[in-house]
Amino acid sequence: MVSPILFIVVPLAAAFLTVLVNRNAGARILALLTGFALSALAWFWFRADLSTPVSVVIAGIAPPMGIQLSMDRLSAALALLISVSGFLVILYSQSYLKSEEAQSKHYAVLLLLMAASFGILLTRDLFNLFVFYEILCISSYILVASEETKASFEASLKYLLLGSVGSLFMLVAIGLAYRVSGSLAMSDIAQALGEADLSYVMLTAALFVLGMGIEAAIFPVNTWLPDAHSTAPSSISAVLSGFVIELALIVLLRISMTVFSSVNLMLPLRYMALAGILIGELAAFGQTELKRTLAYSSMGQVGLMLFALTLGTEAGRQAGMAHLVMHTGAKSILFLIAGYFIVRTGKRDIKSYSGLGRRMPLTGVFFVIGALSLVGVPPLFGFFTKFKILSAAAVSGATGAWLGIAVILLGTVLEASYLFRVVRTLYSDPETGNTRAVKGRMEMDVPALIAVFGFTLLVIFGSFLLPLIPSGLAL
Amino acid sequence: MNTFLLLIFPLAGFLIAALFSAFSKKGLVVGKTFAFLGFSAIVLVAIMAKSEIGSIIYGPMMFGWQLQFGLTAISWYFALMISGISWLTVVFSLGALREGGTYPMYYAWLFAKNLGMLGVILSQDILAFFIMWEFMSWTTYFLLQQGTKKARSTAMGYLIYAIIASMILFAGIIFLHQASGSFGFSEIASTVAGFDMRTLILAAVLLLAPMLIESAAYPLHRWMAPAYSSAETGITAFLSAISTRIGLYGVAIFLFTVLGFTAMKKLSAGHYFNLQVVIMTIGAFTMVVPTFTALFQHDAKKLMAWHSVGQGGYMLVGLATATSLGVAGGLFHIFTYLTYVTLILFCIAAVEYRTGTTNLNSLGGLIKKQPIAYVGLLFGIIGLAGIPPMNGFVSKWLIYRSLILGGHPFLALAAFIGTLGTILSVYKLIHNIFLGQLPERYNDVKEVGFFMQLPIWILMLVVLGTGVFPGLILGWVAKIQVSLGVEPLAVTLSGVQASAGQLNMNVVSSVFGATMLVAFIIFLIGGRRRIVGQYNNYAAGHFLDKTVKYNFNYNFYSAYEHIFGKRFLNPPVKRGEEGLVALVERASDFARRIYTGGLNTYLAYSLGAVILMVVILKGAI
Repeated sequence: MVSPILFIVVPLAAAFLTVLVNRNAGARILALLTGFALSALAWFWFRADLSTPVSVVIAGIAPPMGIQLSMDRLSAALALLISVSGFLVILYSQSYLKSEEAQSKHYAVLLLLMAASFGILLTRDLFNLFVFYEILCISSYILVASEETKASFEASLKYLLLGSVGSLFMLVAIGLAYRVSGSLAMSDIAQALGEADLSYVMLTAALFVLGMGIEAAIFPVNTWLPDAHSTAPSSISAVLSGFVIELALIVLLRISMTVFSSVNLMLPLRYMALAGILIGELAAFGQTELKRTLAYSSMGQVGLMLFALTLGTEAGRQAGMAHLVMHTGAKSILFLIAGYFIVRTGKRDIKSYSGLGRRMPLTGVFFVIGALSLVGVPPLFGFFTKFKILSAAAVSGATGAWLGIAVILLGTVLEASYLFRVVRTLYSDPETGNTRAVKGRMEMDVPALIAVFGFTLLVIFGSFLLPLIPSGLAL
Repeated sequence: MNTFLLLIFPLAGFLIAALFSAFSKKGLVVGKTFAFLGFSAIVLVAIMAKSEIGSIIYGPMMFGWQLQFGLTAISWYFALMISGISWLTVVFSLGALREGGTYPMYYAWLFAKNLGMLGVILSQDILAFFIMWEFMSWTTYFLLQQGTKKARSTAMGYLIYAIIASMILFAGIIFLHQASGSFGFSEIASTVAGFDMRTLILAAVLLLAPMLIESAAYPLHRWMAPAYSSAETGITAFLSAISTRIGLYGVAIFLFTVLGFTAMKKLSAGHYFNLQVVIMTIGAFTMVVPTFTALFQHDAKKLMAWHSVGQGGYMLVGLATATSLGVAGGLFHIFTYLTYVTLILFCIAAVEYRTGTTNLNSLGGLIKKQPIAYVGLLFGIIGLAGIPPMNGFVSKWLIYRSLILGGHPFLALAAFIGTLGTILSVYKLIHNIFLGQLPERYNDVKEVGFFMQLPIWILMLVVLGTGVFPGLILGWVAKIQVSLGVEPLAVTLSGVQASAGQLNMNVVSSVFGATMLVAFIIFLIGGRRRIVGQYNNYAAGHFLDKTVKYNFNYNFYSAYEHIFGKRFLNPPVKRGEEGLVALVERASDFARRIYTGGLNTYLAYSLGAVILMVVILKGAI
């Protein structure tokens, strides 16, 4: 039996090794191999029989003192998503980061981020969750700043300060939970909080949810996101928008449903989700920079997932999970391509991309497919997930479900209009004033094309994965 | 099997044509041949599929429901029209399409659009309907983009309307599925029958509003004329002829099959106000306002595109009467309009092919240069104006008669006013293109080649043939009426033999022909005529010699435009649309301002959110 701890050990070891190697070529290959190994590992766990979760105890010290990791179907599926999209992003970076000087640092931090992601997913005690959360945040701060421009430093600093606020909230919440339970294992805390005073639980829950919610980018604590996701290198934007916020969202949901089950967190979260959809999509509609547009769109999409996950029904959770997988694929496509638009034109605003679709034909097609899936056009994956969310909402009978349907449909109209405004620019005639308006093709480099193609396959054929997507959020 | 092929052929055509154009930049001849063969096959399959009416084929499972496709009487009627017009468009494009320009994705999107439309009409459950509907909307968007530079922004306008329509329909489907637990038309219909008034209104709005947007009914029509007129002219013809009518198909299906016609009457407040009146009023506005907007257009394609909006009103009113005559008129008008609008736009395209413009201010005098296009256009506008012996007369006669007999004098008046506007504007069309003096720059203009002439000839034959023998088509329309649950029209080959009215087109045409003949004889023996050249000028006493060109075309109807133009060219609907856009932009600006970029505000949000959450949690107990 392969131990789930390998998910944390392998990328962590690879990260240190990468720093030791300190050669660009070596780091690239090492990162690629690690990504592949993790994907293989995740595939093994995804195929394994996980009807009863597999738990391991680290260093032979039993909980509540020791560290407990647990692998269930949900974790296995998410681990597969994280490792495969991490692998594809590393593949993309092979060519995207070509001109970068300190590549080994970049890959090392990326691997660290992946290790932390797996950690958050697998751990079953709150304090370890906090530690992995901190590693995740710190590596995100570094990656956001890695372009070393003024804007990226500013974005990273904002992210850091708000992330620290989030950590503080979480730490206080964990402290409050520990006070009543005397344990850090989630199951013990859940039991203790179930018997505690409701007001006390409410404060704890609110602090925890909004602390974790900062990383999960739920409205209104998603304020760091537009700057961070738009100024980060595009490979990192794809990672951050593709699985980091989603991962935080799932863990947040799992803990609110299990640990804080005595208070009804679903209702406020549902309304926050709806506000997030509306505000995110509206703000995205008014943007002129492609990556900022995509960042705001991610906020709307997080709202969509959160809405589905908080409906409180099995169908809703499954729809939310499916949408999460779809969003990873679609948003990664769009961010990765946006990166190459910036590389090719040297500019960030949409209007300087005129005519690029003709000169990057394959890239253009991938972009359109990604956008179509995000809008939810049949027969792409996005249609299935959106349909599932809406029909789950309709049958759930939850408060605000029909309002949610209306908001989601309105958001879709906005989303289609701003994404296809971009598509229109891509296929319009190139402006004569375009600085690098040279003739000929300027398609993405082959590794990047393959990576984007991988995500494209996901959004085209994702609907066949629907039966495999788990919905249980139990511990 | 043929029903299945009706979906598979366009799909295969789309994939092959798209791949082909991706890898080959210079394969115009191959592309044209492939498209011709492909669409010929689709037409053949559509004709042969007649024997399969009533049988169902099952598509893939989706959301625990097996998608159903199949032919009914009305969908076979539409399938023939779709495939026939596509075939004619392709034949026309064999001559009209040149290297570069709108090629290479032209045929690929035409195949895809066919798939979408055929898919919609073949759908036998609401889920399949919605999926194919979305597919159709998106392929229309991509097809529209293939046109001129302007097309990209007008296609965007279409897309936004289409997405809004799709999303309303989406809500409708979610709602009906939740209520009935099924996607099947009949299950939903039986659930709807038990709805109370408010639910029924909701269901009717959610189902019919998207259909009315797609069929460009007033006041949801503003996307259509700009979008269609900036497409490639062959595509303008194709889209004007059939694309929007899929919305009417939807109206027919939802009104008669899903909602049930009794629902329409049930949805009433007081004696005079019910759903039927609402739809008819929408139809009346659609007949009048866009038609007069067409009058003031200075571009031939735009003029016709506005007529496509306006004529949709006749069809909508006809369907909404729900009487034997009216429904037959509405359904038949879909066919007749399809034939003559395609004819007219092909003739305009033939002129555009040679002169490079469709601007009515600068054309003129082409009658001797392009006589076939002239005769084609003449046939077409006679049909459009609803004058015998063309088929347009029959469909309009049915609609007028149903309105008068049904006790709708105001609607009949609106229909007549609409026809008046139609006649005025088609006169402008033929005059400004073909009559008057030929500008010198068009001295070398020639008639177009065989492939562009062939569809014009075929359509002239159809417009006249189905005018003299309307029973050819009306026979099938009566069968559709049976399947929709409306009393069928008593039809003969030459016209209508119903108790509500009798029409023998053979007699009408003979009388019409004989009168023309007598007039011609009087004209011949009258002797008071002088044959003058095209450049002979007469200007009310002013002496003009041959060197002075006297152009009547420029700003035709400028006096009308001066008086009425503002109302139609800057209508309240336009201002409403602009207001809505401004509202969204302001909301977007507000949303953007939430993210001030200042850390102080962000910290305040975080703390505020914790407090708010505790308050909500407390309040929820």
